[in-house]
Amino acid sequence: MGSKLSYANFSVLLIACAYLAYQFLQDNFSFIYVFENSSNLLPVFYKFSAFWSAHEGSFLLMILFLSGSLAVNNLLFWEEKWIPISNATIAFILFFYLLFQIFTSNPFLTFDILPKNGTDLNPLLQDPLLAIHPPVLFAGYVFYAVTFSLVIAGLFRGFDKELFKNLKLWAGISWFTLTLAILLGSIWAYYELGWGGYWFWDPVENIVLLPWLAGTAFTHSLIYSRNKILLSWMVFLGISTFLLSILGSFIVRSGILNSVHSFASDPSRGIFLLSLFALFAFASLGLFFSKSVLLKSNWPELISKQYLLVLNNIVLVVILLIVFLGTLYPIVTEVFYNQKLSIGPDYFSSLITPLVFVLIALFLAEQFLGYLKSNQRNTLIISIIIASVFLFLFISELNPVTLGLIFVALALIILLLRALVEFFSTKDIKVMHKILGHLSVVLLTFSVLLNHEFSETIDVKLKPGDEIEFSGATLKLESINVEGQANFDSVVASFSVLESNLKKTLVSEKRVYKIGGVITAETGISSSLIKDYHVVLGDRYQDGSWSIRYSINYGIMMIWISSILLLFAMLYGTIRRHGY
Amino acid sequence: MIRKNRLNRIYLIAFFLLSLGAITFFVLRALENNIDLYLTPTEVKAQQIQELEDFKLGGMVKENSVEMLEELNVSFVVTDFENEISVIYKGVLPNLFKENSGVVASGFLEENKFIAYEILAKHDENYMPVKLEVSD
Repeated sequence: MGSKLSYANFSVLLIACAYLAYQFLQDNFSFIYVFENSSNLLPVFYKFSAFWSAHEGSFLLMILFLSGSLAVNNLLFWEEKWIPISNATIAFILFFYLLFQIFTSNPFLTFDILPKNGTDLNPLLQDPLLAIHPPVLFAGYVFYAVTFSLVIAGLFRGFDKELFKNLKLWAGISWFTLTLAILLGSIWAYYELGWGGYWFWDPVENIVLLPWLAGTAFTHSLIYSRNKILLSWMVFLGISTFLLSILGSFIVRSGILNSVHSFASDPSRGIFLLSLFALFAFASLGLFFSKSVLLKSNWPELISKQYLLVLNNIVLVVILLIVFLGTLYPIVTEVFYNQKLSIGPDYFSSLITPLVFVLIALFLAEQFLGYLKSNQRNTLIISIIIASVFLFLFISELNPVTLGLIFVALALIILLLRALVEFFSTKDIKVMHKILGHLSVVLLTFSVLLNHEFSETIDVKLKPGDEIEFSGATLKLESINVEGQANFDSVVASFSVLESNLKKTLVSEKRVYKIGGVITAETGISSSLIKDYHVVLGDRYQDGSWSIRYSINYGIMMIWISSILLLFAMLYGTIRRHGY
Repeated sequence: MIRKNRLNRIYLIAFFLLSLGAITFFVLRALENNIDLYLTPTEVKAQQIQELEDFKLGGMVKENSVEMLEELNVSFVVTDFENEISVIYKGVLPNLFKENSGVVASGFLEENKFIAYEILAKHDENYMPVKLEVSD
């Protein structure tokens, strides 16, 4: 019965969404939402993606996904023992989300008259990456609602092998999806926004990082959950991940944070979402504390894989608390002391970097646990001490970042060698996704440090034909042309970069959109594995010269590659157990 | 067996408390070092000072105040409709920077002028420059 209703719910929502999408494709501007986010001139692909370009549509899409995952969960998971409670929990969430949708953000409101044209889709969103980034992010959020419902079901009916299997599947899928969403957002920020970076420690970014960190800890805590190691901790993380994802949407939608990306702020929406968050938080944490005593948890042995896992979870939660504090502190001071402030990026990077090193040290310890336990333990400890004293003498003159780079590079080499040795001696790698995942995290850390340490930026003024020498390469502004497109006019600047006889061309654009006159820049980027040349066109001066921001960014490609490897590891680790 | 388990717990708790202390110390120190105040021209003027170290100045770019100077220097006036402060910035301005729309500049106050090293133009959900509300 429950499963049939969930299919019915999904079908009805699907029809509603199809109806709205149809209005977009038909240019029916009598719908206020279509009027505000689309126009005649928009390419068909963006007419479709305009559906989720603003608050109302994106929330509707999120509800569709939630309903969809409810239906899929009923399809895959047929255990009578848990499914009723799981369904009830999701239905409860769905009910409140739909109330929110209907009363504060209805996308189906219409005008009495039919406007001739819409006000166009926000130009910055006219980008393939950003067209898919929001749906992926919402999917990641709502999948965590499913893990939440399963954890709640477990609290009532007890945890069992079957439940763990399903929990692991959903936790893996959510984790993968959320990671993909963050990666897409980063790539978009780098290529489209022209800010020259991929992560800014901006509140809106941090808010997505919170459920991601909790989800990472959660997925790891599930590994040994069947042995009832820290079972109640796992439950707590499952609940927190979901709560943090609601908190995220509340903070982003209510606009109480002082962010560069400020979304439509509507106090009534904020209050509704905050009450919703409070309701879920009280209900689920209340339930957790009343039931968790019943979950018998075991403590792991000292120096065991489980023990390292506990340490990993502690470090992840500490990182989470640091991000949480840094992101919400400005709200506290504004509400209680009426003092507006923001927390600089150094707060985050200076605190989190050492903790990431600790995580990497844990990866290493996990690989060499056998030695730590066996009789060779003393030999190993002595050799580590000798090595570190030697290293300390050698590197005491280097700065901390170089030190970090050396440490991470060493960890990378050691892990890689270890995996290769295992592969060639046994023709197989045990728990491949773990090795690959950890390797890619180490590579990612290395690339981020490289980028942070070596990247350079310069602002210059150039006329067509002018050259500038910077950091061992010559940048030349070749030409500037004006071109016209369907819905925008653009100034196209061609550059060339000459480094050791290797010539690369870059094209940077500045677009003026016909509706609203919004100006955006298309960044000119030429990438290689090690470094990127990055040019943003600025303003035109009276004498015909242009201001230009020219950057050389290190390790960007490596950041994308390691993130994609990480995604593969997550996906493989998730589906491997299930034989799909 | 029980004893060993209990010893584990003691280790874990001691380790946990120690790290908690260390982390709290570092977090508070980092927080203290990285706070950027966000001030409007009126709040700056209220302090009656000529110089002020790193802070963020927020307000609207005053109409007809943007001037391109030699090199890459730009000067403009940030206003909150009560007081105004002139800003000097060297570099490329962001795309969303416009007269009559919101801006956040990071920098310092020197001889009553704000020397900015970073300019951010705010964008809202529709990625248009934000019009600041007139504060009363």
